[in-house]
Amino acid sequence: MNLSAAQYRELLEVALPSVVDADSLALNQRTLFVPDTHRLALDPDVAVVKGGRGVGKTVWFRSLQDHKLRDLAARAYRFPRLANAVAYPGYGAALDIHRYPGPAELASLMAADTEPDLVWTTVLLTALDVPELPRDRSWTERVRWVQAHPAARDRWLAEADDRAGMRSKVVLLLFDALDRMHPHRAVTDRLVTGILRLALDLRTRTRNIRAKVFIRPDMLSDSVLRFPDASKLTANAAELEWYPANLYGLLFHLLGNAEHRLSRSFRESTPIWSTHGDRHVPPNELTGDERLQKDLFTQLAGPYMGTNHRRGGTYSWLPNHLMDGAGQVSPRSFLRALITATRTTGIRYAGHSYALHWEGIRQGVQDASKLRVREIAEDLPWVETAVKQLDGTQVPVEQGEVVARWEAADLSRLLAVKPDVPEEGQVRTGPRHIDDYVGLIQELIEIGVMTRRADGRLDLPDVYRIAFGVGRRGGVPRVRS
Amino acid sequence: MTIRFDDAWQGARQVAEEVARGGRDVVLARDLTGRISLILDDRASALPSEDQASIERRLSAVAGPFAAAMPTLLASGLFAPEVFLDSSDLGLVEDRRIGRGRLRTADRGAVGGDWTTTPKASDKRVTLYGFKGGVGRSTATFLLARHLASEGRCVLVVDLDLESPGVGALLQHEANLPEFGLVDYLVEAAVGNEAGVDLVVRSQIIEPVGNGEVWVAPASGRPRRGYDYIAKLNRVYVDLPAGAEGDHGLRFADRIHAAVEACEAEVARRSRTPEVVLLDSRAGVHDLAAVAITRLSGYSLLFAMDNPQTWTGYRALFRQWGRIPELARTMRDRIQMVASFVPPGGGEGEYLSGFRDRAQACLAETLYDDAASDDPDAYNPAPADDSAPHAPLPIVYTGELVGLDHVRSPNWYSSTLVNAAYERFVRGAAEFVRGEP
Repeated sequence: MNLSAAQYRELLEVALPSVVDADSLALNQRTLFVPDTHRLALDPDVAVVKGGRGVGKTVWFRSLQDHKLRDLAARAYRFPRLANAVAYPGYGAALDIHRYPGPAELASLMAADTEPDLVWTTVLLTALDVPELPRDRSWTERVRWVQAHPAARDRWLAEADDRAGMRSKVVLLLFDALDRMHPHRAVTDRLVTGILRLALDLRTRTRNIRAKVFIRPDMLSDSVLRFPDASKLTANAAELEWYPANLYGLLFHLLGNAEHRLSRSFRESTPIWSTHGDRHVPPNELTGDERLQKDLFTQLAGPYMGTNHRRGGTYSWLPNHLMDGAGQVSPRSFLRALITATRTTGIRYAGHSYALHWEGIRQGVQDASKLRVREIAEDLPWVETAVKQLDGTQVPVEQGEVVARWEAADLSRLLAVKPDVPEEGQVRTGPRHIDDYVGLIQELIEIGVMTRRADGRLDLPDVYRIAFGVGRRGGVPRVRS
Repeated sequence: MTIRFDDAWQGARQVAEEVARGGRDVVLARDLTGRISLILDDRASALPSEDQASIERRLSAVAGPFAAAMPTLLASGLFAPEVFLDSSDLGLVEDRRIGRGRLRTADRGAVGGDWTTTPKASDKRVTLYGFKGGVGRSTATFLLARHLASEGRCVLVVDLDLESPGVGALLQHEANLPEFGLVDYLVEAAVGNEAGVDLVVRSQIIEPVGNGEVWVAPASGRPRRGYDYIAKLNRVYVDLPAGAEGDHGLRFADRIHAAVEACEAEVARRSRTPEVVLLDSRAGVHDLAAVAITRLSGYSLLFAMDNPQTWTGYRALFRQWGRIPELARTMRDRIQMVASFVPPGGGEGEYLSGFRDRAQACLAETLYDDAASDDPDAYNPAPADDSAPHAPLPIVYTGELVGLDHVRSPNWYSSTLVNAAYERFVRGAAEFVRGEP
């Protein structure tokens, strides 16, 4: 039997995580969703995993380090080799000075002109638990020690490789949060290059030790890839993609795994689920068949974004309006929009015949848009500083006008005012082109905040436009009452 | 320098804007000969005569030979000013704001008048229109009719392309066309002689299984000795003048409306009420197309190729509607762009995204709301919005249809290539017609 509107709303309220930030989200076996598009990203032999904001880089970075979640992924993706992996963090957002240097230590290492390769090799040898390594010392001393013993370094690596091979294990060294290593983009680029060279080196020289680098596509620029055979890494790169079917798959997975009695009713009202322990796995139809998903979502949200089809259908409207300039929708935005949609409908449209009202969904998208802008402001403060200057304008806008506004605000100066020595844990990388406004525009396009129109003018996708306070040019004047 | 038609209007607009900015409501009007006058609303606050004289001098100077005999008129001097000033036909340029008056326009033209009449239309009628001809519209009409019939619908196709009829011949062998066509109905109805003019026939080419049917109302009757198409065509576009007592005359738009209703009634009589009526409209900014799009049909599929001429044409057309905000709001909900002749293969995605971008620019400038930064409720969908009218239904170019003689290749529409080329259009258009997202 299908759930009523009120029951669906009740279930949505419990099932959707109130925190949608992967750094603080409690990961567990019930709620970890495994979209079919992410299989390649988990292959131990794939070193570079590209993904924009909020697409699950940190979720996988953390899940791979948890043996239960890793086993679960290995089972779901039929990847026995993954079940035999052991994973260590090589860098991440959390401070873990036993495993890798934090931003402050990285800053002083880089200030002392240390070779990034040497830093990451030291991190690797630490992960491999090489007994000779002085582990109770600072990273600077450890690095110096590794530098002083080049022959031993190669021997340890070979030995660790053999040990892993004998035990049929794969050792994975994971890298995440690369934009939180150093405030200066040029230095960050060198550190990233170091990580990538290590990844390539491991692939050529070992059989059972691999690096996996979770990275935003815009950070993987030509300048970090300027080393021999870099193309071998990028040709083999995976991408964490979310198609609408994956997003809805995630929603249905969460609805079927909520700690609520209605979760069971939901599972029973949909095609056969399979159960492993306390984890309920939705059938392929619910995670991959758009027609069936659309029917099911229509039970929750009704068919249209209004009283008729003129404003589009709910199923495609929601992800379509969360897309950034690169055509990507993050599950984080998607979930946030649904949380607000549920809440708004409950407060303002409680008597609606569906659990979600289209005005609620619209409100949800606006809220997700605000969240997105907040995230950008945290992660890439320079983006906020730059785009904020466009407040009150309308898109499409001439490039000349954008540049003129930036010049008037002296953006270069605003972007340059950044503490050289970062506060611990607060590091965020800046743009590549502080003084070159055209280059800055190009960077904004690469990260999906801006788009270029066919006539050369600049535009903002709605997910950023509305929250940044930018209008859209049109021919029909709005009647003010 | 000689003041030409467009210069006169631009100049007069500026004068009108200045007056409105001073806090007074104004309506800028242009008559059939292009002569311009400015109506000044002095009902709330009087206008000193020297101010009026100064405005009049400025207007006469910028409008030159296009200045009306009385370049300015006071609302208080009009007979029943509210009838004119409260009319919904006026185009809004700038609304009132603190300290500023409202500027509206009244532009009366002969051709194109039907583009801006307030629409009353039936949702079951769908117009297929292309600003330029030769975009594969008739083929698309044929395939859409076939698809809808395969879903069990009763479909009527009306060939409104009277200048170059086509879809009739696609849907029916010449020998089986009905005795009469639309032109016959129009000339007979003009003298009250339309009874018994049978002008629809069930297509024998599309033979759907199940309950579907396709009917066709061709432009011309079956060709035969003594059948003079051109003589009738010459007489269909006129408004019929009012006659003796009780006869109010009939405008061209009403004549076409009556003809389409007659076709629908005849299908209903001979089988059942058609669930979908496809109007294959002629190209260009012709009144016949205007009537079909704004007066008859609830939806219009607008065919376009991504080139500058096409967008200039559509821009001009949409601007007609955009002058009247109410009409703009209605029309933008009723139209859907179709990208015809999309290059096949690898270039498809790029072509379509360019198309979508330029279609959005064209629609935004003319029919979408001017969205301020603090107005999230304004309707101005972004280029990426899939549910917006500018997101095109694609038809892929297929060489197979070039120079096709459908009489000698009677099974042309069964070709896999043809069906693949039209598949997304047919599915999308069918959803649009059925009112599904």
